Amino acid sequence: MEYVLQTNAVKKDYGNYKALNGLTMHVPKGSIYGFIGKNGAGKTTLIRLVCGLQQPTDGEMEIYGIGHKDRGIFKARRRMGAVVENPSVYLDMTAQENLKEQYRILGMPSFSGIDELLKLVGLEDTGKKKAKNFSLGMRQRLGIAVALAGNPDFLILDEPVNGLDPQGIVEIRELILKLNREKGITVLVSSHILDELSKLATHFGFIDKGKIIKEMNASALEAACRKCIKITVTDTKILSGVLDEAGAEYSVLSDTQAEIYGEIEITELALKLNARRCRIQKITEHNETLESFYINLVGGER
Amino acid sequence: MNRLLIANFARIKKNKLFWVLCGVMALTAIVMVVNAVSNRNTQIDGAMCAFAIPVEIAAAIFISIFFGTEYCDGTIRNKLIIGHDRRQIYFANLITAAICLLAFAAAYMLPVVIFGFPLVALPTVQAGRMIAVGILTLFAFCSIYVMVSMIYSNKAGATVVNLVVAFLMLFAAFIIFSCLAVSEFYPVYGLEPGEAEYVRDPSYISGAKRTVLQALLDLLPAGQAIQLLTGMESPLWAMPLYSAGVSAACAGVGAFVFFKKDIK
Repeated sequence: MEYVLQTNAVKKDYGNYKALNGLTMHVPKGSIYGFIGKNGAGKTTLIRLVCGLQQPTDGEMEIYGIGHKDRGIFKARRRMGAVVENPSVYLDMTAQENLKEQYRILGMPSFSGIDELLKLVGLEDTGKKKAKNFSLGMRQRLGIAVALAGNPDFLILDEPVNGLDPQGIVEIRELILKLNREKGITVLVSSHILDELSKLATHFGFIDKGKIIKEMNASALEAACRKCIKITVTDTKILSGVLDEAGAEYSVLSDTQAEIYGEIEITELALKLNARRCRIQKITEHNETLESFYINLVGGER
Repeated sequence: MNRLLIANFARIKKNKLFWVLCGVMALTAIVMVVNAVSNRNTQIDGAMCAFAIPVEIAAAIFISIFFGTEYCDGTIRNKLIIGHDRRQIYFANLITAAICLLAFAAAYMLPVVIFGFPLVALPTVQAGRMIAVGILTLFAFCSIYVMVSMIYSNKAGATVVNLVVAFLMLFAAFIIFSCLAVSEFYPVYGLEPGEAEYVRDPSYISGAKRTVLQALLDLLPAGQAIQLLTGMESPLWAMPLYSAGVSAACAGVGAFVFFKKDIK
Protein backbone atom coordinates (compact mmCIF):
# COMPACT_ATOMS: atom_id res chain seq x y z
CA MET A 1 0.00 0.00 0.00
CA GLU A 2 1.23 3.47 -0.85
CA TYR A 3 1.33 5.87 2.07
CA VAL A 4 1.18 9.63 1.92
CA LEU A 5 2.30 9.97 5.52
CA GLN A 6 4.16 7.52 7.72
CA THR A 7 5.56 8.15 11.15
CA ASN A 8 7.78 5.84 13.13
CA ALA A 9 8.14 6.15 16.90
CA VAL A 10 7.80 9.93 16.78
CA LYS A 11 8.34 11.71 20.07
CA LYS A 12 7.79 15.32 21.02
CA ASP A 13 8.65 16.69 24.42
CA TYR A 14 7.78 20.11 25.80
CA GLY A 15 10.14 20.30 28.74
CA ASN A 16 9.22 17.34 30.92
CA TYR A 17 5.84 16.83 29.27
CA LYS A 18 5.76 14.12 26.61
CA ALA A 19 3.15 15.24 24.06
CA LEU A 20 4.00 12.38 21.68
CA ASN A 21 5.46 9.21 23.01
CA GLY A 22 6.60 6.99 20.13
CA LEU A 23 3.72 7.54 17.73
CA THR A 24 3.59 5.31 14.66
CA MET A 25 0.93 5.84 12.03
CA HIS A 26 0.25 5.22 8.34
CA VAL A 27 -2.01 7.34 6.15
CA PRO A 28 -2.81 5.47 2.91
CA LYS A 29 -3.00 7.39 -0.35
CA GLY A 30 -6.54 8.32 -1.35
CA SER A 31 -7.98 7.73 2.11
CA ILE A 32 -9.84 9.92 4.54
CA TYR A 33 -7.91 9.17 7.68
CA GLY A 34 -9.83 9.88 10.87
CA PHE A 35 -7.42 10.76 13.63
CA ILE A 36 -9.33 10.22 16.86
CA GLY A 37 -8.29 11.08 20.36
CA LYS A 38 -9.47 12.98 23.36
CA ASN A 39 -8.31 16.52 24.11
CA GLY A 40 -4.61 16.57 24.93
CA ALA A 41 -3.99 13.14 23.37
CA GLY A 42 -1.45 14.63 20.94
CA LYS A 43 -3.46 15.08 17.72
CA THR A 44 -2.57 18.72 17.11
CA THR A 45 1.04 18.15 18.15
CA LEU A 46 1.44 15.48 15.48
CA ILE A 47 -0.20 17.74 12.89
CA ARG A 48 2.19 20.56 13.81
CA LEU A 49 5.13 18.23 13.28
CA VAL A 50 3.80 17.00 9.92
CA CYS A 51 3.28 20.60 8.80
CA GLY A 52 6.83 21.59 9.77
CA LEU A 53 5.70 24.04 12.43
CA GLN A 54 7.69 22.11 15.00
CA GLN A 55 10.41 19.48 14.92
CA PRO A 56 10.10 16.06 16.56
CA THR A 57 12.32 15.34 19.55
CA ASP A 58 12.94 11.84 18.20
CA GLY A 59 11.64 9.39 15.62
CA GLU A 60 11.11 9.39 11.87
CA MET A 61 8.44 10.96 9.73
CA GLU A 62 7.96 10.55 5.98
CA ILE A 63 5.76 12.57 3.66
CA TYR A 64 5.47 10.96 0.22
CA GLY A 65 8.37 8.75 1.24
CA ILE A 66 10.68 11.67 2.03
CA GLY A 67 12.10 11.81 5.54
CA HIS A 68 11.57 14.93 7.65
CA LYS A 69 15.30 15.56 7.85
CA ASP A 70 15.81 15.35 4.07
CA ARG A 71 16.23 18.54 2.09
CA GLY A 72 13.45 17.35 -0.23
CA ILE A 73 10.87 17.65 2.54
CA PHE A 74 10.27 21.30 1.56
CA LYS A 75 9.32 20.18 -1.94
CA ALA A 76 7.14 17.37 -0.57
CA ARG A 77 5.29 19.88 1.61
CA ARG A 78 4.34 21.87 -1.48
CA ARG A 79 1.92 19.02 -2.21
CA MET A 80 0.25 19.57 1.14
CA GLY A 81 -2.40 21.91 2.48
CA ALA A 82 -3.46 22.21 6.08
CA VAL A 83 -5.75 23.98 8.49
CA VAL A 84 -4.19 23.69 11.94
CA GLU A 85 -6.51 24.57 14.84
CA ASN A 86 -7.92 27.96 13.79
CA PRO A 87 -8.08 28.84 10.10
CA SER A 88 -4.97 30.80 9.07
CA VAL A 89 -6.43 33.79 7.26
CA TYR A 90 -5.75 37.52 7.30
CA LEU A 91 -8.75 38.92 9.14
CA ASP A 92 -8.48 42.36 7.55
CA MET A 93 -8.70 40.93 4.04
CA THR A 94 -11.60 39.63 1.97
CA ALA A 95 -11.84 35.97 0.96
CA GLN A 96 -10.52 36.79 -2.49
CA GLU A 97 -7.62 38.88 -1.14
CA ASN A 98 -6.66 36.06 1.21
CA LEU A 99 -6.53 33.62 -1.67
CA LYS A 100 -4.54 36.06 -3.80
CA GLU A 101 -2.02 36.38 -0.97
CA GLN A 102 -1.71 32.60 -0.74
CA TYR A 103 -1.31 32.37 -4.53
CA ARG A 104 1.56 34.85 -4.32
CA ILE A 105 3.22 32.84 -1.52
CA LEU A 106 2.85 29.74 -3.67
CA GLY A 107 4.22 31.56 -6.71
CA MET A 108 1.19 30.71 -8.84
CA PRO A 109 1.44 32.33 -12.29
CA SER A 110 -2.11 33.74 -12.25
CA PHE A 111 -5.16 34.15 -10.03
CA SER A 112 -7.37 32.22 -12.46
CA GLY A 113 -8.38 29.44 -10.06
CA ILE A 114 -9.60 31.72 -7.27
CA ASP A 115 -13.24 32.02 -8.35
CA GLU A 116 -13.50 28.26 -8.75
CA LEU A 117 -11.97 27.72 -5.33
CA LEU A 118 -14.37 30.18 -3.70
CA LYS A 119 -17.26 28.43 -5.38
CA LEU A 120 -16.00 25.05 -4.20
CA VAL A 121 -16.09 26.18 -0.57
CA GLY A 122 -19.29 28.19 -1.00
CA LEU A 123 -17.79 31.64 -0.46
CA GLU A 124 -18.32 33.02 -3.96
CA ASP A 125 -20.83 35.65 -2.77
CA THR A 126 -18.81 37.19 0.08
CA GLY A 127 -17.68 40.15 -2.07
CA LYS A 128 -15.92 42.86 -0.07
CA LYS A 129 -16.80 41.40 3.32
CA LYS A 130 -13.63 41.03 5.37
CA ALA A 131 -12.72 37.75 7.03
CA LYS A 132 -13.07 39.32 10.48
CA ASN A 133 -16.80 39.68 9.78
CA PHE A 134 -17.20 36.04 8.67
CA SER A 135 -18.96 33.43 10.77
CA LEU A 136 -16.81 30.64 12.21
CA GLY A 137 -18.01 28.23 9.53
CA MET A 138 -17.17 30.71 6.77
CA ARG A 139 -13.70 31.26 8.22
CA GLN A 140 -13.22 27.50 8.42
CA ARG A 141 -14.20 27.16 4.75
CA LEU A 142 -11.91 30.04 3.81
CA GLY A 143 -9.10 28.31 5.70
CA ILE A 144 -9.77 25.17 3.67
CA ALA A 145 -9.79 27.22 0.44
CA VAL A 146 -6.40 28.71 1.40
CA ALA A 147 -5.11 25.20 2.10
CA LEU A 148 -6.40 24.08 -1.30
CA ALA A 149 -4.80 26.99 -3.17
CA GLY A 150 -1.77 24.99 -4.27
CA ASN A 151 -3.87 22.06 -5.56
CA PRO A 152 -2.54 19.74 -2.84
CA ASP A 153 -2.75 15.94 -2.95
CA PHE A 154 -2.79 15.78 0.82
CA LEU A 155 -5.03 17.89 3.04
CA ILE A 156 -4.73 18.03 6.82
CA LEU A 157 -7.67 19.35 8.81
CA ASP A 158 -7.32 19.74 12.54
CA GLU A 159 -10.71 19.62 14.28
CA PRO A 160 -12.50 21.21 11.29
CA VAL A 161 -15.98 21.02 12.82
CA ASN A 162 -15.05 22.47 16.22
CA GLY A 163 -17.52 25.15 17.22
CA LEU A 164 -19.64 24.82 14.09
CA ASP A 165 -23.43 24.64 14.09
CA PRO A 166 -25.11 21.49 12.67
CA GLN A 167 -25.50 23.11 9.25
CA GLY A 168 -21.82 24.08 9.22
CA ILE A 169 -20.81 20.55 10.24
CA VAL A 170 -22.77 19.05 7.35
CA GLU A 171 -21.24 21.55 4.90
CA ILE A 172 -17.68 20.77 5.99
CA ARG A 173 -18.38 17.03 5.87
CA GLU A 174 -19.77 17.26 2.36
CA LEU A 175 -16.83 19.38 1.27
CA ILE A 176 -14.30 16.85 2.60
CA LEU A 177 -16.12 13.98 0.88
CA LYS A 178 -16.28 15.97 -2.35
CA LEU A 179 -12.55 16.74 -2.25
CA ASN A 180 -11.71 13.12 -1.60
CA ARG A 181 -14.04 11.60 -4.16
CA GLU A 182 -13.87 14.15 -6.96
CA LYS A 183 -10.30 15.37 -6.67
CA GLY A 184 -8.73 12.28 -5.14
CA ILE A 185 -7.22 14.26 -2.28
CA THR A 186 -5.98 12.25 0.70
CA VAL A 187 -7.40 13.84 3.85
CA LEU A 188 -6.20 13.55 7.42
CA VAL A 189 -8.97 14.79 9.73
CA SER A 190 -8.47 14.99 13.45
CA SER A 191 -11.38 15.13 15.82
CA HIS A 192 -12.61 14.03 19.19
CA ILE A 193 -16.14 13.76 17.80
CA LEU A 194 -16.23 10.06 16.94
CA ASP A 195 -19.66 10.02 15.42
CA GLU A 196 -18.75 12.75 12.96
CA LEU A 197 -15.59 10.99 11.83
CA SER A 198 -17.40 7.69 11.41
CA LYS A 199 -19.50 9.34 8.68
CA LEU A 200 -16.41 10.36 6.75
CA ALA A 201 -13.33 8.31 7.31
CA THR A 202 -12.15 5.30 5.37
CA HIS A 203 -9.33 4.66 7.84
CA PHE A 204 -9.00 5.35 11.52
CA GLY A 205 -6.12 5.98 13.89
CA PHE A 206 -6.87 6.05 17.61
CA ILE A 207 -4.43 8.09 19.66
CA ASP A 208 -4.07 8.17 23.41
CA LYS A 209 -1.32 9.65 25.58
CA GLY A 210 0.81 10.43 22.55
CA LYS A 211 0.65 6.96 21.02
CA ILE A 212 -1.43 5.34 18.30
CA ILE A 213 -3.19 2.51 20.07
CA LYS A 214 -5.04 1.14 17.05
CA GLU A 215 -5.14 1.70 13.30
CA MET A 216 -7.90 0.12 11.27
CA ASN A 217 -9.99 0.64 8.18
CA ALA A 218 -13.67 1.56 8.19
CA SER A 219 -14.94 -1.96 7.48
CA ALA A 220 -12.88 -3.40 10.34
CA LEU A 221 -14.26 -0.73 12.64
CA GLU A 222 -17.78 -1.38 11.42
CA ALA A 223 -17.34 -5.06 12.13
CA ALA A 224 -15.94 -4.32 15.55
CA CYS A 225 -18.88 -2.07 16.39
CA ARG A 226 -21.52 -4.32 14.88
CA LYS A 227 -24.36 -5.64 17.02
CA CYS A 228 -23.80 -9.38 17.51
CA ILE A 229 -24.31 -12.36 19.78
CA LYS A 230 -21.17 -13.91 21.20
CA ILE A 231 -21.74 -17.60 21.73
CA THR A 232 -19.61 -20.28 23.38
CA VAL A 233 -20.49 -23.86 22.40
CA THR A 234 -18.86 -27.28 22.71
CA ASP A 235 -18.23 -27.48 18.93
CA THR A 236 -18.30 -24.57 16.48
CA LYS A 237 -18.37 -26.97 13.48
CA ILE A 238 -21.88 -28.07 14.47
CA LEU A 239 -22.82 -24.46 15.16
CA SER A 240 -21.58 -23.46 11.68
CA GLY A 241 -23.78 -26.11 10.10
CA VAL A 242 -26.86 -24.91 11.93
CA LEU A 243 -26.14 -21.27 11.15
CA ASP A 244 -25.52 -22.04 7.46
CA GLU A 245 -28.89 -23.78 7.28
CA ALA A 246 -30.51 -20.74 8.90
CA GLY A 247 -28.70 -18.40 6.48
CA ALA A 248 -27.24 -16.36 9.35
CA GLU A 249 -24.14 -14.21 9.08
CA TYR A 250 -21.45 -15.22 11.56
CA SER A 251 -17.76 -15.53 12.18
CA VAL A 252 -15.95 -18.30 14.03
CA LEU A 253 -13.47 -17.06 16.60
CA SER A 254 -12.18 -20.43 17.90
CA ASP A 255 -13.21 -24.09 18.25
CA THR A 256 -15.72 -23.06 20.87
CA GLN A 257 -16.53 -19.41 20.19
CA ALA A 258 -18.34 -17.60 17.42
CA GLU A 259 -20.10 -14.29 16.74
CA ILE A 260 -23.52 -14.22 15.11
CA TYR A 261 -24.58 -10.98 13.42
CA GLY A 262 -28.11 -9.73 12.97
CA GLU A 263 -31.31 -11.06 14.55
CA ILE A 264 -31.57 -14.78 15.36
CA GLU A 265 -34.18 -16.87 17.15
CA ILE A 266 -32.27 -18.10 20.21
CA THR A 267 -34.75 -20.84 21.27
CA GLU A 268 -34.77 -22.34 17.79
CA LEU A 269 -30.96 -22.25 17.63
CA ALA A 270 -30.68 -23.88 21.07
CA LEU A 271 -33.11 -26.69 20.09
CA LYS A 272 -31.25 -27.39 16.84
CA LEU A 273 -27.88 -27.48 18.58
CA ASN A 274 -29.26 -29.72 21.29
CA ALA A 275 -30.58 -32.11 18.65
CA ARG A 276 -26.99 -32.41 17.27
CA ARG A 277 -25.55 -32.86 20.74
CA CYS A 278 -23.86 -29.52 20.84
CA ARG A 279 -24.27 -27.65 24.08
CA ILE A 280 -24.41 -23.89 24.56
CA GLN A 281 -22.07 -22.95 27.40
CA LYS A 282 -22.41 -19.18 27.30
CA ILE A 283 -24.28 -16.59 25.31
CA THR A 284 -23.86 -12.79 25.54
CA GLU A 285 -25.13 -9.89 23.52
CA HIS A 286 -22.38 -7.70 22.13
CA ASN A 287 -23.54 -4.22 21.18
CA GLU A 288 -20.54 -1.92 20.85
CA THR A 289 -20.93 1.66 19.69
CA LEU A 290 -18.03 3.56 18.16
CA GLU A 291 -17.83 5.52 21.38
CA SER A 292 -17.67 2.48 23.65
CA PHE A 293 -15.21 0.86 21.25
CA TYR A 294 -12.94 3.86 21.64
CA ILE A 295 -13.38 4.01 25.40
CA ASN A 296 -12.53 0.32 25.64
CA LEU A 297 -9.45 0.95 23.54
CA VAL A 298 -8.14 3.76 25.72
CA GLY A 299 -9.07 1.90 28.88
CA GLY A 300 -11.54 4.49 30.19
CA GLU A 301 -14.84 3.97 31.94
CA ARG A 302 -18.20 3.87 30.19
CA MET B 1 12.30 34.06 -1.41
CA ASN B 2 11.00 36.20 -4.28
CA ARG B 3 7.52 34.80 -3.76
CA LEU B 4 7.60 35.73 -0.09
CA LEU B 5 8.81 39.24 -0.90
CA ILE B 6 6.11 39.72 -3.53
CA ALA B 7 3.46 38.53 -1.06
CA ASN B 8 4.80 40.84 1.68
CA PHE B 9 4.85 43.90 -0.60
CA ALA B 10 1.33 43.18 -1.86
CA ARG B 11 0.20 43.19 1.77
CA ILE B 12 2.11 46.40 2.54
CA LYS B 13 0.48 48.13 -0.42
CA LYS B 14 -2.91 47.62 1.23
CA ASN B 15 -1.71 48.25 4.78
CA LYS B 16 -3.32 51.39 6.22
CA LEU B 17 -0.79 51.68 9.06
CA PHE B 18 2.07 51.85 6.57
CA TRP B 19 0.51 54.79 4.71
CA VAL B 20 -0.49 56.55 7.94
CA LEU B 21 3.10 56.30 9.21
CA CYS B 22 4.40 57.59 5.85
CA GLY B 23 2.06 60.57 6.35
CA VAL B 24 3.31 61.10 9.91
CA MET B 25 6.91 61.08 8.62
CA ALA B 26 6.03 63.70 6.01
CA LEU B 27 4.28 65.86 8.61
CA THR B 28 7.28 65.60 10.95
CA ALA B 29 9.52 66.78 8.12
CA ILE B 30 7.20 69.72 7.40
CA VAL B 31 7.37 70.72 11.08
CA MET B 32 11.18 70.55 10.92
CA VAL B 33 11.26 72.72 7.78
CA VAL B 34 8.84 75.26 9.28
CA ASN B 35 11.05 75.34 12.38
CA ALA B 36 14.15 75.92 10.24
CA VAL B 37 12.40 78.73 8.36
CA SER B 38 11.08 80.41 11.53
CA ASN B 39 14.54 80.20 13.16
CA ARG B 40 16.05 81.69 9.99
CA ASN B 41 18.47 78.79 9.71
CA THR B 42 21.01 79.06 6.95
CA GLN B 43 21.37 75.29 6.59
CA ILE B 44 18.87 72.52 5.96
CA ASP B 45 21.30 69.81 7.16
CA GLY B 46 19.86 69.61 10.68
CA ALA B 47 16.29 69.08 9.48
CA MET B 48 17.49 66.51 6.94
CA CYS B 49 19.63 64.47 9.28
CA ALA B 50 16.92 64.32 11.97
CA PHE B 51 15.03 61.65 9.99
CA ALA B 52 16.53 58.68 11.86
CA ILE B 53 14.70 59.32 15.14
CA PRO B 54 11.09 59.55 13.87
CA VAL B 55 11.73 56.63 11.52
CA GLU B 56 13.08 54.64 14.49
CA ILE B 57 9.80 55.08 16.40
CA ALA B 58 7.60 54.47 13.34
CA ALA B 59 9.59 51.32 12.52
CA ALA B 60 9.12 49.93 16.04
CA ILE B 61 5.34 50.26 15.67
CA PHE B 62 5.04 49.12 12.07
CA ILE B 63 7.38 46.10 12.16
CA SER B 64 5.82 44.72 15.35
CA ILE B 65 2.26 45.04 14.07
CA PHE B 66 2.91 43.96 10.48
CA PHE B 67 4.83 40.79 11.34
CA GLY B 68 2.91 40.22 14.58
CA THR B 69 -0.27 39.88 12.49
CA GLU B 70 1.26 36.80 10.87
CA TYR B 71 1.48 35.13 14.26
CA CYS B 72 -1.81 36.58 15.50
CA ASP B 73 -3.84 35.46 12.45
CA GLY B 74 -1.75 32.29 12.13
CA THR B 75 -0.85 33.03 8.52
CA ILE B 76 2.86 32.37 9.09
CA ARG B 77 1.80 28.71 9.19
CA ASN B 78 0.60 28.94 5.59
CA LYS B 79 4.15 29.75 4.53
CA LEU B 80 5.70 26.91 6.51
CA ILE B 81 3.08 24.29 5.59
CA ILE B 82 3.68 24.72 1.88
CA GLY B 83 7.39 24.22 2.35
CA HIS B 84 9.05 27.62 2.68
CA ASP B 85 12.33 27.43 4.53
CA ARG B 86 12.36 29.30 7.84
CA ARG B 87 15.55 31.17 6.93
CA GLN B 88 13.90 32.36 3.72
CA ILE B 89 10.86 33.55 5.68
CA TYR B 90 13.06 35.38 8.17
CA PHE B 91 15.25 37.11 5.61
CA ALA B 92 12.29 37.94 3.36
CA ASN B 93 10.72 39.69 6.36
CA LEU B 94 14.00 41.45 7.15
CA ILE B 95 14.33 42.74 3.58
CA THR B 96 10.67 43.79 3.56
CA ALA B 97 11.15 45.69 6.83
CA ALA B 98 14.33 47.37 5.57
CA ILE B 99 12.54 48.57 2.43
CA CYS B 100 9.64 49.87 4.51
CA LEU B 101 12.08 51.88 6.62
CA LEU B 102 13.57 53.32 3.45
CA ALA B 103 10.04 54.26 2.40
CA PHE B 104 9.50 56.02 5.75
CA ALA B 105 12.81 57.84 5.28
CA ALA B 106 11.78 58.81 1.74
CA ALA B 107 8.42 60.06 3.05
CA TYR B 108 10.38 62.27 5.48
CA MET B 109 12.83 63.51 2.86
CA LEU B 110 10.22 64.43 0.28
CA PRO B 111 8.87 67.57 2.05
CA VAL B 112 12.44 68.54 3.00
CA VAL B 113 13.42 68.46 -0.68
CA ILE B 114 10.21 70.14 -1.90
CA PHE B 115 9.94 72.89 0.75
CA GLY B 116 13.25 72.91 2.65
CA PHE B 117 15.63 73.28 -0.29
CA PRO B 118 13.92 76.35 -1.81
CA LEU B 119 12.92 77.97 1.52
CA VAL B 120 16.09 77.32 3.57
CA ALA B 121 19.13 76.13 1.65
CA LEU B 122 20.57 73.29 -0.37
CA PRO B 123 22.24 70.55 1.72
CA THR B 124 25.99 70.40 2.15
CA VAL B 125 28.08 67.47 0.91
CA GLN B 126 28.59 66.40 4.52
CA ALA B 127 24.79 66.17 4.98
CA GLY B 128 24.63 63.75 2.05
CA ARG B 129 27.23 61.54 3.68
CA MET B 130 25.43 61.67 6.99
CA ILE B 131 22.19 60.61 5.38
CA ALA B 132 23.94 57.61 3.86
CA VAL B 133 25.25 56.73 7.32
CA GLY B 134 21.78 57.33 8.76
CA ILE B 135 20.26 54.84 6.36
CA LEU B 136 22.66 52.19 7.59
CA THR B 137 21.62 53.12 11.13
CA LEU B 138 18.02 52.43 10.08
CA PHE B 139 19.03 48.93 8.99
CA ALA B 140 20.41 48.33 12.49
CA PHE B 141 17.08 49.44 14.00
CA CYS B 142 15.26 47.25 11.50
CA SER B 143 17.34 44.22 12.40
CA ILE B 144 16.61 44.66 16.12
CA TYR B 145 12.85 45.06 15.63
CA VAL B 146 12.54 42.16 13.19
CA MET B 147 14.46 39.95 15.62
CA VAL B 148 12.03 40.78 18.44
CA SER B 149 8.94 40.40 16.22
CA MET B 150 10.00 37.05 14.80
CA ILE B 151 11.03 35.58 18.13
CA TYR B 152 8.15 36.87 20.25
CA SER B 153 4.94 35.52 18.74
CA ASN B 154 2.59 37.80 20.68
CA LYS B 155 1.72 40.83 18.53
CA ALA B 156 0.85 43.18 21.39
CA GLY B 157 3.80 41.95 23.43
CA ALA B 158 6.25 42.42 20.56
CA THR B 159 4.90 45.94 19.93
CA VAL B 160 5.41 46.87 23.58
CA VAL B 161 8.90 45.33 23.68
CA ASN B 162 9.97 47.08 20.47
CA LEU B 163 8.65 50.45 21.64
CA VAL B 164 10.31 50.04 25.04
CA VAL B 165 13.57 49.07 23.27
CA ALA B 166 13.25 52.09 20.95
CA PHE B 167 12.71 54.56 23.79
CA LEU B 168 15.25 52.93 26.08
CA MET B 169 17.85 53.18 23.33
CA LEU B 170 16.96 56.82 22.80
CA PHE B 171 17.12 57.67 26.51
CA ALA B 172 20.33 55.74 27.02
CA ALA B 173 21.87 57.39 23.98
CA PHE B 174 20.70 60.82 25.15
CA ILE B 175 22.16 60.36 28.62
CA ILE B 176 25.49 59.11 27.26
CA PHE B 177 25.55 61.93 24.71
CA SER B 178 24.85 64.52 27.44
CA CYS B 179 27.70 63.14 29.53
CA LEU B 180 30.07 63.26 26.58
CA ALA B 181 28.88 66.70 25.44
CA VAL B 182 30.27 68.43 28.53
CA SER B 183 33.15 70.71 27.49
CA GLU B 184 36.51 70.08 29.09
CA PHE B 185 36.98 73.77 29.92
CA TYR B 186 34.52 76.53 30.58
CA PRO B 187 35.24 80.26 30.76
CA VAL B 188 35.04 82.26 33.99
CA TYR B 189 34.72 85.95 33.09
CA GLY B 190 36.51 88.62 35.13
CA LEU B 191 35.35 92.14 35.91
CA GLU B 192 37.27 93.66 33.05
CA PRO B 193 35.76 93.30 29.57
CA GLY B 194 37.45 90.51 27.64
CA GLU B 195 39.01 89.10 30.76
CA ALA B 196 38.26 85.38 30.96
CA GLU B 197 39.89 82.42 32.59
CA TYR B 198 39.30 78.86 31.36
CA VAL B 199 38.61 76.38 34.14
CA ARG B 200 38.52 72.61 33.73
CA ASP B 201 35.02 71.19 34.24
CA PRO B 202 35.19 68.38 36.86
CA SER B 203 32.24 66.59 35.21
CA TYR B 204 34.20 66.21 31.97
CA ILE B 205 34.75 62.52 31.24
CA SER B 206 38.15 61.62 29.92
CA GLY B 207 40.41 58.65 29.40
CA ALA B 208 39.17 55.05 29.19
CA LYS B 209 35.73 55.94 30.53
CA ARG B 210 35.19 58.38 27.65
CA THR B 211 36.35 55.79 25.11
CA VAL B 212 33.94 53.19 26.48
CA LEU B 213 30.99 55.61 26.56
CA GLN B 214 31.78 56.84 23.05
CA ALA B 215 31.93 53.23 21.78
CA LEU B 216 28.60 52.51 23.48
CA LEU B 217 27.06 55.60 21.90
CA ASP B 218 28.36 54.54 18.48
CA LEU B 219 27.12 51.00 18.97
CA LEU B 220 23.59 52.05 19.88
CA PRO B 221 21.67 52.82 16.69
CA ALA B 222 19.83 55.54 18.65
CA GLY B 223 23.25 56.93 19.65
CA GLN B 224 24.17 57.17 16.00
CA ALA B 225 20.84 58.85 15.26
CA ILE B 226 21.48 61.48 17.98
CA GLN B 227 25.01 62.08 16.70
CA LEU B 228 23.63 62.55 13.19
CA LEU B 229 21.15 65.09 14.55
CA THR B 230 23.68 67.03 16.62
CA GLY B 231 26.79 66.69 14.53
CA MET B 232 29.16 63.76 14.44
CA GLU B 233 31.48 63.11 17.33
CA SER B 234 32.88 59.85 15.99
CA PRO B 235 34.56 59.48 12.61
CA LEU B 236 31.97 59.05 9.85
CA TRP B 237 33.54 55.84 8.57
CA ALA B 238 33.10 54.08 11.93
CA MET B 239 29.31 54.40 12.00
CA PRO B 240 28.54 52.06 9.09
CA LEU B 241 30.83 49.46 10.67
CA TYR B 242 28.95 49.64 13.96
CA SER B 243 25.58 49.52 12.14
CA ALA B 244 26.67 46.54 10.06
CA GLY B 245 27.84 44.78 13.22
CA VAL B 246 24.55 45.36 15.05
CA SER B 247 22.50 44.38 11.96
CA ALA B 248 24.46 41.17 11.38
CA ALA B 249 24.41 40.15 15.05
CA CYS B 250 20.65 40.68 15.41
CA ALA B 251 19.86 39.01 12.07
CA GLY B 252 22.01 36.02 13.04
CA VAL B 253 20.46 35.63 16.49
CA GLY B 254 16.94 36.20 15.17
CA ALA B 255 17.27 33.72 12.31
CA PHE B 256 18.81 31.10 14.60
CA VAL B 257 16.09 31.37 17.26
CA PHE B 258 13.31 31.49 14.65
CA PHE B 259 14.77 28.39 12.99
CA LYS B 260 14.52 26.49 16.27
CA LYS B 261 11.22 27.99 17.38
CA ASP B 262 8.13 25.84 17.93
CA ILE B 263 5.27 27.53 16.12
CA LYS B 264 1.72 26.85 17.23
